[in-house]
Amino acid sequence: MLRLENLTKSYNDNYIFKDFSMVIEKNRITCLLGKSGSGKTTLLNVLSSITDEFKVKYSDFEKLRYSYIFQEPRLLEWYTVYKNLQFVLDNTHMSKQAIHEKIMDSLKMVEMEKYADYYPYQLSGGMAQRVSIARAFVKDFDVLLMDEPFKGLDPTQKEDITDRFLKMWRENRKTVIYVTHDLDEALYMAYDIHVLGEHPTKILYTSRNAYKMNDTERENERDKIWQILRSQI
Amino acid sequence: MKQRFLKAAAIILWLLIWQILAMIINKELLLPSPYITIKTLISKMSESSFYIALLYSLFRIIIGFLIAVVFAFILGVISGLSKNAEILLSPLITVIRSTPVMSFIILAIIWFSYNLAPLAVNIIMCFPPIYDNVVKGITNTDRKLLDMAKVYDIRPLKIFKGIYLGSVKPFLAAGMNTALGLAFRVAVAAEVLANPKYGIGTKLLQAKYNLETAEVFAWTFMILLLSYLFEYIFKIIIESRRYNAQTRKSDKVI
Repeated sequence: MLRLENLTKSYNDNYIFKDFSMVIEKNRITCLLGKSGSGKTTLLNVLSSITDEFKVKYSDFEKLRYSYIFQEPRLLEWYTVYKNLQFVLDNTHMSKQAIHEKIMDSLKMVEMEKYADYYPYQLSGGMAQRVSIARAFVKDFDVLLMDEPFKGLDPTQKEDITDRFLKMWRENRKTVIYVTHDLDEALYMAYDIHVLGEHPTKILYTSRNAYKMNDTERENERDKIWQILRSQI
Repeated sequence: MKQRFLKAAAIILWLLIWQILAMIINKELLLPSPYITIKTLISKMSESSFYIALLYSLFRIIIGFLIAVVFAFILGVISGLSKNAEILLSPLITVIRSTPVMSFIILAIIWFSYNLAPLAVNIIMCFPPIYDNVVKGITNTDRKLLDMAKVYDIRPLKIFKGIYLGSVKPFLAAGMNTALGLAFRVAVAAEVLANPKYGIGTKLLQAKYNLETAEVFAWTFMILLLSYLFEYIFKIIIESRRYNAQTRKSDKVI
């Protein structure tokens, strides 16, 4: 279990979080579901220390190693696909051969190994996002953060890439915190779902073990969450 | 292909206009024709002093340019990363930018030897465009990439090499291109005033004293040719380094 207690974060006098607490189960995919502006991305930035302007009473998240799949691929345009993966590897204690194998394995998992020598500008959006998934998995991490990573993709690409991601995830079952505003995506991917809303942000509802539900249960859960999200307009 | 043809045609047209003007004026002392200019240039090329002057000038131009690149890059990176450093340097940069070249040349002649003065002026004049571009490149670095590097816990040196350097490169190339063009003009101007023992500028001054207008034209033509040649070489180096040969063949592969 990873605990975050009494997080407070504000821009001037605008409180995004005020005494916000959250528990994340380890080795599961947890979805943070909420409308745009509900502080989802800010929360990930706090957890991963992209921002350090916040107060917190207790946090298990501080000394962990993170991988992060962003909304956009965030690849280095001047590096090849291969070098983009190499960039995040700390190569001080690994042999060249080991690094090479690690990179190629990650690329194989997203079926991008043929494109190792390509530059990002030569790839389509979906392919670039696949590379960024490979980059997230090439490095050792404790927690994987994902911020609506499949937002810009068309539906077929999205389905393909989601399944590919789940397949990769099942191989090591690390802790994943997945931010989305797409209810169906959350129900499809998540074990637990925290529904975020209000201002400052609160957890309005938590759905546990969504992955164990049968179709009727899932349909009921879906309606329930839908009602909560609708009340947030 | 068509554009290339047009470019060549434009050059020929202006050469023709030059030739016609020279024929109308009909005084070699005022305006030598292109034919006379080329003829003078070729005859000069058989003298060893031609090459000595050329080499000395090129040395001042290229070395001055390279020294400026090193300083401008280092200071540009520091200023790009630290606003305070930029503020500290800004008066100096403004002074360099607004002071007439001639003032620097005169001062350089007072401070340094005749041989060194053109080199020193060249360094000073090449500095601002490169520096400005490096600062711009660093400050324009994509914040999102830096955040990514922070999450992935990348070491500072690797961030510098992988992210800052990558985003500075096109800016640095643009700055270097401007400075290179400037170097040819500034170095020769400084030579004319400082009058070192060897140099294109010295040759220009001698030609002026001897009222050899054709020679002035020939040397000027030579400077233009060299300047163009170096910019061309520079362009080729930049383009070949941008992406490797295999992927450069076709732009969008997928």
